[in-house]
Amino acid sequence: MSLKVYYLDDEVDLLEVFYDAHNSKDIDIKIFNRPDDFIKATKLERPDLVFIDYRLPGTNGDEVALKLDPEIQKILVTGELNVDPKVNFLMKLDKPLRRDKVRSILSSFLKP
Amino acid sequence: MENIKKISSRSLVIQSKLFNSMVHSVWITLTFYVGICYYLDAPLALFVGLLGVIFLCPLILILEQKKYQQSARIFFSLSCYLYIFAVSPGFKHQIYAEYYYLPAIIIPLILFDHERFKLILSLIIAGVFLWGHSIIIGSDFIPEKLLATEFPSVLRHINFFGASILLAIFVNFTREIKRSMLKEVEKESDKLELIMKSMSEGLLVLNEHDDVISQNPAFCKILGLPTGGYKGKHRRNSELRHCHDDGTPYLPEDHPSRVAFRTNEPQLDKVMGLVLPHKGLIWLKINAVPFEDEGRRHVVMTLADITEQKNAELKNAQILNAIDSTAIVACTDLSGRITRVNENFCKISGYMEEELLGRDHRIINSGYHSKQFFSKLWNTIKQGHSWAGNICNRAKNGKLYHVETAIAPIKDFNGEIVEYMSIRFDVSEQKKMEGQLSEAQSIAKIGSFQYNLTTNQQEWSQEQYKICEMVEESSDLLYFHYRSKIHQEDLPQFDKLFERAHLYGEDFVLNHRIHFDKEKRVKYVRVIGKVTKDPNGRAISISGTCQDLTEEVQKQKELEVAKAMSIHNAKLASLGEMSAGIAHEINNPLGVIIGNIEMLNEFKDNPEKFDSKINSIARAAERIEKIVKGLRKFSRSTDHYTRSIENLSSIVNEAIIMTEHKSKRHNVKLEVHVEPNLEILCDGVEIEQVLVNLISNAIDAVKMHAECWVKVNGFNIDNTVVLQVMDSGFLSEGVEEKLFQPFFTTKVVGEGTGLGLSIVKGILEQHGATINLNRSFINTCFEIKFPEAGKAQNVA
Repeated sequence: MSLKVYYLDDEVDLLEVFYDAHNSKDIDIKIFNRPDDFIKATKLERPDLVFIDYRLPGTNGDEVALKLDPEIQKILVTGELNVDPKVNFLMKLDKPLRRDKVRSILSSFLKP
Repeated sequence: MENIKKISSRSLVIQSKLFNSMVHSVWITLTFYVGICYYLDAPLALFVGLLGVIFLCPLILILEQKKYQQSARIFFSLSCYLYIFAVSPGFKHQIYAEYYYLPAIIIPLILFDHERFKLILSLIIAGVFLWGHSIIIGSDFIPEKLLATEFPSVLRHINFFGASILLAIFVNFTREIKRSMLKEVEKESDKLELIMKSMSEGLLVLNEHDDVISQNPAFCKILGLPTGGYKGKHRRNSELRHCHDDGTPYLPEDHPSRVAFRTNEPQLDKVMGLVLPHKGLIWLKINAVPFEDEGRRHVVMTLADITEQKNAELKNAQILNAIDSTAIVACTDLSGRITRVNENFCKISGYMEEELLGRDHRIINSGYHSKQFFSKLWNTIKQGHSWAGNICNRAKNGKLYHVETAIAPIKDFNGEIVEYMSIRFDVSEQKKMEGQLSEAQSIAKIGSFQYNLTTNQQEWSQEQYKICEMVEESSDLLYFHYRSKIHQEDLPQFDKLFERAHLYGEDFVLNHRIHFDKEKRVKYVRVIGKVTKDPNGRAISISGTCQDLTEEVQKQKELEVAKAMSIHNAKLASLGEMSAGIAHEINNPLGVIIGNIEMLNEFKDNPEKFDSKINSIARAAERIEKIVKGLRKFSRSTDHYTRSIENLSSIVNEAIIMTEHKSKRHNVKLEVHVEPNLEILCDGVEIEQVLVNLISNAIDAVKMHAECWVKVNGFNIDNTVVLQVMDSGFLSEGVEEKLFQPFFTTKVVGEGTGLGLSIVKGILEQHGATINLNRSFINTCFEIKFPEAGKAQNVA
């Protein structure tokens, strides 16, 4: 089974780059630019790992994360300089995301 | 007037009467002589005739002089008849008619004044006696002895008749002489009358009963009487009040006329006040001279109206008294020794009068003035000129006092200086106040000046000299000295304003620079000129102030720098606040770029995808460029002003770029409706900062609201560019006044500095724009009104 990875960001170009860079037969990338769609999707099919952008239209990554299943592994992605998330994210990734870094993270989640 | 004429010509009349009396007495004596010659021996007749001359002449003269003149005439006439009828020895024979008809002829001559009448009467009587005598001579009663005497009777008749005629002619001749003398008297009287009429002095003749005998027109005029005046009235009947110099009433017996009557001495130069019902108090100088006329005593009075002189004297006396009571007065002789001091002098100097008299003014010399000062003073007054100035003296107790002094040489009628009089006023307090004023001027750095355009006299205050860094001088070149210091760039404006002040009397205010040390150093001054005009509106003097604004200008410059810094800092604060969002805004496209670049190799064989990635990279790069540009502009220091005509829409868009990330983050809907062609003269960056502040504030104000939006509207109304920043929030009543004050904030503690709106207002004021809270909207609406681009003023 492939690794289910969801990415929420309001920046569509970024979503496309993420998808193009990491979607493979082992990693199933699903991208969302609206938080509501993202939350719904996680409820329909539980992802293995989510990347959530902090700055989102009308909300932020913290708030979105609170609405997710706590068991879901969450990584906060942010271009902000100082973000102090209240939710227990697995990690925080600063934008711009580097492909290798994301790849290594994803690899660590892949089932052996 | 007639009486005066009569009195004044009295001497001539008396001379005439004297002559008449002499003729009468000579004639009577001659009669005696002739009669006695006939009757007695010639030597005896001569003797008797001489007796007659000797005794009768003086007697007649005396009687003629007295008022019993007419009685004297009758008496002599009767004497003559008695002589004829009683004394003549021929009486009983009735034959010596010639002895009595001669007196009969004379009697009318003596008794009557009318010349022709008495001449004719005398001739008639002579004729009657001649006729009667002829009858008597023809009779027998005439003794032969007598008939045979020296002359034949016919010759005697001829002799006596002729003698009578000659006598009449002689008497008439005397009358003619008298008449001509009277004519002379008339002429003299006319002259006298003319003199009296033309006299400015009043003339009055009183008899001893104080009845007014005569008066001249000037008398009536002085007393304001009708033409008749007091003539024939009693002087004391007038109810006029008389008074002495000192105002005390004049007793009737003290009146100069009464004194003259009483003492028979002339009363001269007596001054008397007279209260007239229609003129009030007048002052007269009276001379009263007694004289006698035909045994009656009179007083002739002259009255000169000295009211004006008296009033002037009174005024002078009052002025002198006032000066003496208020001023410090001293007189010195020609050598400078004090001859008189008043009480005020003693009071201020602390010396007794005895200590000052005979001393010179060195006793109060303070040493404040130089020797040259006093030397100049003495030279001035010795030349007969007055000297005026301020002198600092020292009192006995050592205390200095300032007196404003005027020293005038007092001259006699020949123009020779006899003494010097000084009038001083204590101006110590004024000096003190001047000192305080000078100090105040020094503190305020305000000098004052006065320029008399008529006399060219110019005066500066101490501070004015200080501002201009000049030594005090008395010069009519002060204006030119000042003008030479004015900065070349400011001089044309100064000249223009000064010329307008001079020509048209216009006041002026000018900020300009004056330079020192060959233009190496500059002072900033504000000159305020006020023009004084004469009644014709012509400028006569310019006075005003000159304030040294150098420190103020420097502080203003420092303030502007500080203000610019505060604006800059506020911008940095805004940047700080926005940095997170900005970083996000940059990192996003940067992530797109990096991500795409990292994958480019993978899409080398897929041109469509490759191009797509390249385009994505380019878009992302443009986004970053735009943000960075905005940041660069926004963070630029505003230490200098760069005004240009800017498109308002462009500025708004720049501001939106800077704030949209914030609006996005807080899910605040940001709407922009700005007309495309609105132009304003401004510093675009500053106006962008204003908008960023307002939009950012608006977002903060509504971000927690259920309905949250921010709208930016731009439009033109009546050539005024209006920019509105509205939000969905509400501002409570009463905050308008505080809204633009520094450190006022509606944000929670720690979120706002409270400087944003005050800086916004400051920036807009520098652009000649206004910002207000438009209460016509339900929601919060800040409304900025810019002047039209062409009319924008540089108010910075």
